[in-house]
Amino acid sequence: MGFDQISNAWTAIFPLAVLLYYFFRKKYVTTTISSTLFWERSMRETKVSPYLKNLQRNALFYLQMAALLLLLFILLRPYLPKDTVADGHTIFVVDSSASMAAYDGELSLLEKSKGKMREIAKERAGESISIITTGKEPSLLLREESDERVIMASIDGLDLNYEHEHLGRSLDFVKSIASQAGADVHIFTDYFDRSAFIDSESGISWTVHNNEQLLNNVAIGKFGAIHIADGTEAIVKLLNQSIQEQSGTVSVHNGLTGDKLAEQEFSIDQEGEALLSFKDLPKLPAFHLHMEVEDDYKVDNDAFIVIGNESSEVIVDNQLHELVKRAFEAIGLTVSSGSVNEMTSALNHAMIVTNETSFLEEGSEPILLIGRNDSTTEPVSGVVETTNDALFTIASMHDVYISALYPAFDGFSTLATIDGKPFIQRSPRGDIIILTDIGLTDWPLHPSFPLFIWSSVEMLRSGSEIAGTFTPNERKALLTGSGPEGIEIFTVDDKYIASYEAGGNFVAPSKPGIYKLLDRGVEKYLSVQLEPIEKSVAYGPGYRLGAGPLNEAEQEGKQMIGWLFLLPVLLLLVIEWEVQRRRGYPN
Amino acid sequence: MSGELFPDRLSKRLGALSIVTRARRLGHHKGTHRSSKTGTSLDFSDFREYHPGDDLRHIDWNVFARTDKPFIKQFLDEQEMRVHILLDSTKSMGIDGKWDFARQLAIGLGHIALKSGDTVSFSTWSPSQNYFFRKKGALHRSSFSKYVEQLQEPVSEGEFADQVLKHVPKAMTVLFIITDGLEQLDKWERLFRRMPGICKDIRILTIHSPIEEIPTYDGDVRFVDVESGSVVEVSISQRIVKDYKEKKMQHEAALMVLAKKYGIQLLRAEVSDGAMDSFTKKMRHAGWLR
Repeated sequence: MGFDQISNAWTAIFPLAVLLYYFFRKKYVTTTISSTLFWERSMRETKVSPYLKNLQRNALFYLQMAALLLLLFILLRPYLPKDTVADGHTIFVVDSSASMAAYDGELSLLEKSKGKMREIAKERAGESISIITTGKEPSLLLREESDERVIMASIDGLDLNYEHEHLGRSLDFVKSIASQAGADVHIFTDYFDRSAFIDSESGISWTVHNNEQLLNNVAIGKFGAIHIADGTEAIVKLLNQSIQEQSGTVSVHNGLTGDKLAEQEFSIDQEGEALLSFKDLPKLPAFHLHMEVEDDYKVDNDAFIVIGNESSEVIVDNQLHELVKRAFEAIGLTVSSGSVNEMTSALNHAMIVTNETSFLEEGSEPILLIGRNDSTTEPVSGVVETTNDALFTIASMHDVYISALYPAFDGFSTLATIDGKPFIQRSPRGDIIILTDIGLTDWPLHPSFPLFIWSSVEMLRSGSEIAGTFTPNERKALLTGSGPEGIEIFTVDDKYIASYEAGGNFVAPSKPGIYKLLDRGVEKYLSVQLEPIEKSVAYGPGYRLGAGPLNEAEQEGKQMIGWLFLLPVLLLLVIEWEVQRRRGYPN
Repeated sequence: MSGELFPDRLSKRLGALSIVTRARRLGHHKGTHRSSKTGTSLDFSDFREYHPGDDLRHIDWNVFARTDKPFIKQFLDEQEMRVHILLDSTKSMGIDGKWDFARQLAIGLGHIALKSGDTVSFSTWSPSQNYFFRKKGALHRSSFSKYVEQLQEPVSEGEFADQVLKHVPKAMTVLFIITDGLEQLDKWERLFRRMPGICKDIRILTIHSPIEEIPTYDGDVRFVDVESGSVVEVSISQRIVKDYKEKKMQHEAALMVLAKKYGIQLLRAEVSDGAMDSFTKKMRHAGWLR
């Protein structure tokens, strides 16, 4: 058991005072006198009206009745209609996406929202306030906090996480915490449409504080770069979302050092697009595109890219077992089956899965080799024994049955063995070699099969110095070893950001940019890019929605006034006491 | 108790007083009060001519010798008074020392009358018994004192005014009624209307105790009427007390007016004054005693 308002315990003074008063009250003094002739007459004046007399005689009854009725009335929870829900629970849903960094005049949308929140919090001092920030995973900063200092500190501490707001999820979250009591929900965002409120909960009133003005914005819509034989080519798509012509300059920088590599001027019509291309850029792993323009939203004026093998296309040799292709499909890759010729032509932009050992020497990217077409199998029996390699961190191979193995490649490192004979090998280039045919095993029946395929794909891709491209706060499992040091994230200026014990917990940094990922001493680059939807700032009028599911009109809240009637009840009790005191106990 | 109630010294101080009355009706016996009629006392009154039928023994022969006319020598007549003292013995008299005071007054009046050689009768009653005392002459003073002193606390039921007539003998010269007068005016009026037929000189002494005059109650008081048992609960305040005093004064004034209307004398006697002052000051000022 707990007490929410323990500070109100001081009101115990009242009952104690009454109790004490009873203790010390004067006794009725009975006095025998010669005649009550004159006293009686002095009382008679107040007994003129028979109604009054009745009232006097039954005063205690009437008073107790009135007190009981008042208490009943209070139990019915009377209320007066009020503009806002005065249920005491206010929920702020704060859009923390990048678009809230847009400036409307002097202040950013977020700062403006903070101002509004402070006002509301001040108005409702003493009531409980919850604060939720948006995102793919909405977070609850405050839960039903009523301490004003804590609330103000929380509001001050609000910051962007650049992630798309996913307001729908936040609203589900709100509904779950406010489903019983009802609440007054204030949503602070750039724009949120009414249509999202079709199945609104009853008891919750919504106030949406939208950005009400069209802001000037020129965004880098797309920024792509590709390594060519002797350098890098980049293409930039600029979007003008304002209603006037915009011009400025776009410069390409080295993503790691910040050196300016090239610069172009541009000019875009209102609500138009512009395509710029940069050629003859040096071959660098990361680029930073910066646009110099007069607009209100700065975050989307920078774009980052890391260039690496990001292909998600897989070509599976059509001689391989059908289940291999299925396994690749199961992990969400674009899979096609192809002949040797097709594989050869796609060598540099797709991942090759084959049994053609010749591919080990061709191309620049590592491949996945399943079986050997230049050799024959020998029967084997025993348990699979794996080394402590990252490949097996999520795919356990212990109970897989293998009937036969191909001979091993010399000079390749062995990752798994059966009965002392190599089963899985890795070439110095990074190729992963499985020395058996799928048809010779019961592996596809085990859940470890697709997991191993996924691990292999991740492993093959991570051969480069690129860790990938992420959206802000994106949660994505990285295949890393279960080493004691885990992985660490730094900015390009070697500023520490975060560390994760295992790749499975990895969450990308929130601010767009290029980051270094340190995994067992190996440095990789990753870029965090804004989601396309965050590259524009929407606007629209703010609005309020009531609690009714169909009724979108403003609904009036309730102001509980039951407590007002407690005072008359107290008064009645005092009067009762006085009557009782004068009358004495009935006998 | 007897000694305390009416000490001898009190009796001695009353010795010089006597009851004054203008009532013509006196007792049949010889007494010390001069009658308006001529009588057989030793005091000379006057002469008048003899008319046939007069008693020859009353002719003053010396005057006849000087004037040759027969004159009758007349003497003043002295007759006794018949004094009755009626004591209110309703319960209300038993409160606040009124009973003792009332008995002191009764004894005092009785002593004054007895000393003058008058016939004193005294009556009061209790629910079980009627008390009646009648004596003449100064010798009976102590027995009267004792008789009154031995009276128990008053316990009579009912209204005093209703029962007065039953306890008053006929042909009284002076009737003293000692009461507290705390009864409804209409009861008094009914009594007063019939009183003059019984006695010409009626004197009512109303007894007032200090607490009745100036109530000193505090807080909340439940008043119980000692006679009727009715209860009045009062939260004492200045206004209530003022009200009470006003009511009481009105009642007394109305009683006074009523008494005057029927030729009855009424005198207030307050317990706080003491018995002696009541005799020597109040009753003398009122012309009741001399």
